[in-house]
Amino acid sequence: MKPRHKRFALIAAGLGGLAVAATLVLGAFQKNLVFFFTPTQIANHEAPQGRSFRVGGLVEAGSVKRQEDGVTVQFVVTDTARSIPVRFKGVLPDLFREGKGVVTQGKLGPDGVFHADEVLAKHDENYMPPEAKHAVEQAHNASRTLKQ
Amino acid sequence: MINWFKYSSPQTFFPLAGEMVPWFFALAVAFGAAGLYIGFFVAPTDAQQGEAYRIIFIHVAAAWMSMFLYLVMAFWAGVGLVFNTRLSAMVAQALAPTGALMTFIALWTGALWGKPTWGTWWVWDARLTSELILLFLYLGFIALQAAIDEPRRADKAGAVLALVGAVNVPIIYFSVKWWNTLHQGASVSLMAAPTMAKTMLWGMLMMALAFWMYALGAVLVRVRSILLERERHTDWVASYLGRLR
Amino acid sequence: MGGYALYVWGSYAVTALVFALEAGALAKRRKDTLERLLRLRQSGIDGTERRDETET
Repeated sequence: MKPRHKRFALIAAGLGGLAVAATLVLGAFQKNLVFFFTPTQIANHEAPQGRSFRVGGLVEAGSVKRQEDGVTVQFVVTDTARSIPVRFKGVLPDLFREGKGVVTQGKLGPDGVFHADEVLAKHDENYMPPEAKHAVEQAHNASRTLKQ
Repeated sequence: MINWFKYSSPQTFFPLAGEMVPWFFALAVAFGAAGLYIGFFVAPTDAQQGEAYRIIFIHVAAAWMSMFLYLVMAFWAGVGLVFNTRLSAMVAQALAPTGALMTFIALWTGALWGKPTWGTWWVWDARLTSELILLFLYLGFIALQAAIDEPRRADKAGAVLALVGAVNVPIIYFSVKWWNTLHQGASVSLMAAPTMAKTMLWGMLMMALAFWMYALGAVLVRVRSILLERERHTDWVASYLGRLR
Repeated sequence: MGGYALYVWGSYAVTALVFALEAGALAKRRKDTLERLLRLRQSGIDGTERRDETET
């Protein structure tokens, strides 16, 4: 390969890389920056109609119900203001917990139920040993009891 | 007052960098050993994520370095562009491969962390996508400089790319605040108390220091090779080579 | 590692490998550069002229 050709190939590779980067940026700006919609946004009809999108929020405590077939799960995703029921058939991630964050992809059915084909757990940025977590929960419960 | 211009001349910088390299590598090993010890023997299991969270010690260190090295690279490239100094452009050139590797490590460990916790290797959310763009910026910078034969022109073109791409760094950092992402928010920031147990935090900081020291050592070794190559027609390189025999 | 061994060690092993490869590449680059420059000096070319080996 002549140096001229090599140079050309390298420039082409560089420009190709930049083109890929630019495409990713534009693609990201178009739809992926809105990675998920909250239940409030869905209630306000801000979510896309008729195509797949993601819902994010917290799994409402006590809402997780397993169907008799053993693989279908139903739960409620809430942003504490509004909530939406979700039905999902498949394996849930390890960190899927009631009261914890979740992002799920699927389509909104006419019955108002979100039919998910993917469920991802969104964990928070808190890291602590189990004993500390237990203490935090106890303190939280104590303060709640006092307020009531 | 220290005469900084003295150190910015290649013939003074070259031996100075050579003397510093072993120290930085030694510090990298020391901090790395401390970080691994704390990370695996002192830091407790995480309440939410179990043992999987232990990836954080290298993931966060690599992600911080990937952004920090880019800013340092853009800074020196910019200095080279404005003041037409030879050494600063060479430092920028030496930073790019190590920065790219740090970005790769951040992405790789992130995928291996995401699979067991989130349930996926990869999603196109703002944080992950902007970090991937950072990798392409590093690779683009390296490819652009390699494509141009005339070193001074290569420096200028690379500097423009590096400076334009610097916009991406705050986007990566604040992406978790500005947009809905699957990636969680920052556990450690300048503005708020860290949301981590103390020992976990120490492990993370030790590893970050280890990566930083390693990066400094690696970049200095690389810049010395670049210096020899690009200054080979000068008297100081000739006398250095003469002394080697 | 509580069932996460593959993910945790996979992360650490690849990171260690990346650092080792970079360190190796840096040592090789330094050695190659020095050898090349010493050879250029020996053959009487002091490097004042830019010579591209691929074209000669």
